[in-house]
Amino acid sequence: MAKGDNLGEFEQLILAALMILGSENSYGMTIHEQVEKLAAGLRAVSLGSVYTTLDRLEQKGYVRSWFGGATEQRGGRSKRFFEITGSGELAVKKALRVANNMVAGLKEIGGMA
Amino acid sequence: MNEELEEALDILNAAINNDRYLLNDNQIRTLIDLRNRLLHCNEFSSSDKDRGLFLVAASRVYALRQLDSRKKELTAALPPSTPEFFLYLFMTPANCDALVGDLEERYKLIRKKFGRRRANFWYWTQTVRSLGPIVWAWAKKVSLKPVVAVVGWAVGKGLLGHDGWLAALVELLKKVRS
Repeated sequence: MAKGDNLGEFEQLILAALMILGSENSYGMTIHEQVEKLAAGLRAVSLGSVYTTLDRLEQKGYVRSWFGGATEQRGGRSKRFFEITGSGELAVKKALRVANNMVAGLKEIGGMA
Repeated sequence: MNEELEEALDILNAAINNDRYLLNDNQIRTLIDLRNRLLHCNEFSSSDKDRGLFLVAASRVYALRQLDSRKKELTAALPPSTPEFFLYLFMTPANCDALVGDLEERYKLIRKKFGRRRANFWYWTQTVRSLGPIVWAWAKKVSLKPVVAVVGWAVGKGLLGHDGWLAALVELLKKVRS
């Protein structure tokens, strides 16, 4: 696997948020809220970083996006919806497996107590 | 004509002659008061024609005043435009529209709950926090590619670490320009 295919911590958070939200509710602000919830105050999350990471994930093929209709509440601007792809889900599962192995390894030596 | 009515007509004429219908609050209050009194009682001794003229003009100013306050209300509900401009500098229009739309949606909720000043503060904070990663992504996309290309070319030519690399680079730039 090339180095660029590995997921960073923030990318994992974003993909997890997309899986939780589903494709109908996943747009910038809801993803931002969900990621903040998942990060639980352990790291700062800005809307700009959410968008740039989503762009990067789209380039990697882990996410696809499309534009919805414009609404008055948003000043006539359309929402950009996001959805995780099959390869994105696979990448998250791989990352989770690695994390689980780490947890199991640490438990064995009592590092998680 | 009644003196009060004559004075009010003068104010109205001045207002109508002025394209922007600029009247101060006291003048507006006087006009509205007079208009209401004319509509509901017969205390003025002026002719029906004068009263009619006055009522039409006063209604016009009154309607414009309401339109003006509605416009102000609508404008005040919008988030500040300066931070939005910074985002447009570094993002594609479609992407920027989506991000600004998200910010505006949340801004309106915060404004309803906490007022304009706090909502503006939130908007500025979010934009400034967002600018860091956006500018970095933009710089990587726009500026780093040519740098990487030049370094790659220099490595390929075996010029790095060689005394004449700067001269060769200048020569390359000349070639590109011509």
